Amino acid sequence: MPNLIPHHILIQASKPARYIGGEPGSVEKDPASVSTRFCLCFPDVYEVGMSWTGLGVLYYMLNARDDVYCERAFAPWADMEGLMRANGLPLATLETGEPLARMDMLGFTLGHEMGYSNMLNMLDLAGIPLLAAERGGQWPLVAAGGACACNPEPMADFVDFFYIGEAEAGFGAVLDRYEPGIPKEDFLLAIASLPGVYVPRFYKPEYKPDGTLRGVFPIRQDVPQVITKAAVNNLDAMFTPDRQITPNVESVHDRAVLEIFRGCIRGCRFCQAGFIYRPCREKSPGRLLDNARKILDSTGYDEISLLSLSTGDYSAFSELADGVQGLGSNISLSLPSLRIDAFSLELMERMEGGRKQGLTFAPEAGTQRLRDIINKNLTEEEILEGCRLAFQGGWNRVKLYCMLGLPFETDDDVRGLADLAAKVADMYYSSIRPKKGGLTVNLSASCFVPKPHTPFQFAAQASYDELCEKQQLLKRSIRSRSVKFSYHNADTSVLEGALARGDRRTGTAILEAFKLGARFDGWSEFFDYGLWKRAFVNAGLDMAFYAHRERPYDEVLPWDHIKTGADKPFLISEMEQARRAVTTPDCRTACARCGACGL
Amino acid sequence: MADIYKYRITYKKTGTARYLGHLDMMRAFQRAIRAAGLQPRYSEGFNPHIILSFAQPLPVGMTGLGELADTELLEPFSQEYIISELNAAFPRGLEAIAVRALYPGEKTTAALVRAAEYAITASVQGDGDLKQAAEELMESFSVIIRTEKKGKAPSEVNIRGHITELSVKGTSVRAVLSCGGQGNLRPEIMLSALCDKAGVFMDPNRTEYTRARLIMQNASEGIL
Repeated sequence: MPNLIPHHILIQASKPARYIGGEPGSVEKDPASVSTRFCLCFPDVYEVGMSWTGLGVLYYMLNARDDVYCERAFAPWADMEGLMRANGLPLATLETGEPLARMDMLGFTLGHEMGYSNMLNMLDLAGIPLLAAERGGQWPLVAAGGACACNPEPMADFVDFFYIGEAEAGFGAVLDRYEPGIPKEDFLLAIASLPGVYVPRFYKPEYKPDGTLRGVFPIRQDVPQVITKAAVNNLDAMFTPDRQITPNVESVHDRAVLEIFRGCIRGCRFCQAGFIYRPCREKSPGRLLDNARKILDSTGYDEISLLSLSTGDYSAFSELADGVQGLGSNISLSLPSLRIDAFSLELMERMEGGRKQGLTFAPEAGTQRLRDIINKNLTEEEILEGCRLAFQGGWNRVKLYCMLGLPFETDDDVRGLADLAAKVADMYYSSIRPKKGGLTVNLSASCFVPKPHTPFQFAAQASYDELCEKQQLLKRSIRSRSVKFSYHNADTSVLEGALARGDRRTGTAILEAFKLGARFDGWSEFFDYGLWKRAFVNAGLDMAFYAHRERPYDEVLPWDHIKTGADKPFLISEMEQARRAVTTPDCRTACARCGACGL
Repeated sequence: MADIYKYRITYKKTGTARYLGHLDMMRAFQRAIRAAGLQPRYSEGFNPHIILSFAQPLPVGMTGLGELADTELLEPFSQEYIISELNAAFPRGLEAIAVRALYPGEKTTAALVRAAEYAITASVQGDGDLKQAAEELMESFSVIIRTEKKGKAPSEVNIRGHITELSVKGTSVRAVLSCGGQGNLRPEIMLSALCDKAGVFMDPNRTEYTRARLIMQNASEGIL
């Protein structure tokens, strides 16, 4: 029986079921029977972490091994953190209640930069020294992976090794090298040349007098100069769990999830996922349907979601959709990332049981010129035609996602978003006879953050003031009463920009921010921009140097020694295409020779 | 119209499962029913859901030893099968212990529940005598408590009529209290009144509550 958090503490916490484990699908093992105790650590609250599909994949993949027990830990919500600190309760796993400090290895997933402070807080709550250099042999090895690992430098001081890429491809080989009692240094050296593994302590950054990088250089002969991500070739053959852990507390995406492909053929120039997960690889419909049936049977979910970066691009989409529908009359299918056309509308009508939920379009930018710059393959005609069909079909809620602060954006592009929303509204009132209730167009604007390994990695991020001006300009430009405008806080995006393209020195600012009390930075109720500005000042760093500075093509970037797919000359040529507003065809139409295939 | 088979499930909610809230319980039951392959009946309408009703939600943190839930299936299943398949699909600490088919026209458990028996381990400080206070309380005709509801003036309520049995042994308190739609007295309110009467201080975070059984209108129901 697990070593439970005492009743008198749990009863004071909000949603105490976050902290109890024991979910259907969770794995019980005798800890004495394994040689490696591993804890998957997710730097956000339970409901968010349990929605992350990769968690289940890693959990079942590692637990399929007899020599490993993989458990889970999430960031306790602020009230629980207070209770734990007041009562001297260390952060422990959900499965056995074992303190994290007694694990052999912790694996943090860093899905976005705003989780960095939570990772440090989780280590601190576990009583584990934050800096890798201060963790002797008695402490667990701390690993990190996820999208942020493609620029590992900002978190390099806190991590013993990064695993970059897909766990199914080679994380098993990492665990194979581990044995109880092996000196840390020996283990790290043994894995340093494995695909996807980056051991920061074996690399040293050197800087030029102007503060830019000279390079990140190996300090030993026997570690690779360039780290190449680990990727799976055949998705049908890789480990795929046939079940999920069903959460105790309703999670953000509380449903069965079917990952239908990885990567994306599109090549939108702002999209980090579209570049670092290249090349596009699909699972076959037969394998997916078999997997879907098993997941639904074992979890008891009645809703299944297709997961990919662009669902409509799946080659055998109609075959798959028909197949999923055949799984049961009470199974509903949710279809994110779908191109809206006659086929998909008919499908949604069928799959969502006649419920007309809102339709989502992601034009990203307001003019064709800017959409060409970002290589977003969606035209105004396509959006309006999709809307016309949808309105005739009875839909009356449309969501338009866009970004402000894209490279080469002008005021006309910003105003273009308002025009587009107005045209959608006009389409509604001219194509159907409006019933009561009318139309709602939700125009939602996020702020663009240049990300590593994308063509826009060279671009200067718009400043906080510029982003706020753009938000206000867009707000003023909206004339239609049917359009509701919402936007993300610019300060969060600026910090994300500084952290995303940070170098190893940035870690000092992250540590400072943690010490000043940064937590849950992805949650607006906790995010404190002033605190982070102080943290950068205390660390002697300038946020603008990282976020708002255009980077010349010949500058060494902090992630240049990490190879995730597209090579740097390709990214440079894409940036030049963007400057000329020239699009690049998708991978199926014409190979652009980005370099990601056959890494 | 398809045949409908109604079942009443008696279950325990112990250990960590007592921290599952009511909505978490609804989800856990519905998923377990589907995962068990029990062919549940769905409600009509735009948002079909499994037909499932609980006698009375158990507050978060409280152990339940004889909780009741009703559900409707489209096929008959053996009691043993339902119990074993549900238990295979339940979260840790949730355990079906008995199932029986309802007879035609039988009311739902929510409509029948009248009272519940509670076992409380009270964490109290002070010199007062809980046992004597309980005896005095049972002999009196009124136990007045003050209630404060948001946006309403404080009012005084006599809860004595909702207390059927009350006994104390050390810090263990057993009570039978009204439960259900026709009258409901939460055990922590009773305990608080008892502690006030005894002049002892109660630590609500360290006091543990167990609902030992639900008592139905028809006395043969719900008794372990």
